[in-house]
Amino acid sequence: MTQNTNLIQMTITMALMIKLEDICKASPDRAQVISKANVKALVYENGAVIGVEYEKGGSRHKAMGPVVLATGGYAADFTPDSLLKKYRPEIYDLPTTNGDHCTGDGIKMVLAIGGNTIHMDKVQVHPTGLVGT
Amino acid sequence: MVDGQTVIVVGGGLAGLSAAHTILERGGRVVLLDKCAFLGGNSTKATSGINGAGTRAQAKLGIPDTSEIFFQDSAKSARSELIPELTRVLTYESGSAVEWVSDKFGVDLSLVSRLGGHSQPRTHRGKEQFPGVRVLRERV
Repeated sequence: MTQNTNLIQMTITMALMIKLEDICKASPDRAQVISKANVKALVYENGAVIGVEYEKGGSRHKAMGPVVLATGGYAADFTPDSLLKKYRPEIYDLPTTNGDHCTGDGIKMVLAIGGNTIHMDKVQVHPTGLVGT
Repeated sequence: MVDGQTVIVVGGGLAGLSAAHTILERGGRVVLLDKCAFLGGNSTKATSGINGAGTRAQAKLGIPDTSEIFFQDSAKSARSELIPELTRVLTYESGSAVEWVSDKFGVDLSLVSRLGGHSQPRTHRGKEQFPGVRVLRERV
């Protein structure tokens, strides 16, 4: 590791995670975290998003309420309906440091209900990644 | 806040976690869903720091940065692709975001560097690291 390497991003994320876990334990009526919950679609009725549908444990569930999408990008989207392949086919074969989860799920959900996107071709290509790790 | 409804946050990286905490701060209820077994997403990966303009850390170091300068740096980089309303949110709320992380979650963000594309030092990181990492480094 070089002198400039630091784990500030890990530190910040962990701090927020731990505090959220504390709130979930202390006030389960106010905060809940559901992991391994694969959100597949927005519930869209009368021109409004009123919830989401997700898969967990092999069955389909709904969570109702206003929705905030924070699903990240699609630079590891090697799925059949790949956004990466669609918008940047020439870099599709490059290795990526993105986690396997980065498959543009939120973007696809929005597109499915007729929503808009911008700058979909703006995928960062960085020449300093660790290739093959 | 929407009439006491529970807000659904999809994604448990830094954006989703920040959204969840903000909802709770405002007195709301939140359910955060993540498709992985563990939260964090890409946000846990090592990086240079978090950008913020007009922070206390900068003031302490005598760095004369402002949100407007940050905005102009970003506009210069984006050129014709700039979407002013979005970049304005990013740059003008960056300082308070840094203070929020530092104050509310106790993360040290006192070291400030100047990275590529920035006309002022505004990339914040801390002195502390995970004890495990420190041990690992000492062994290497």
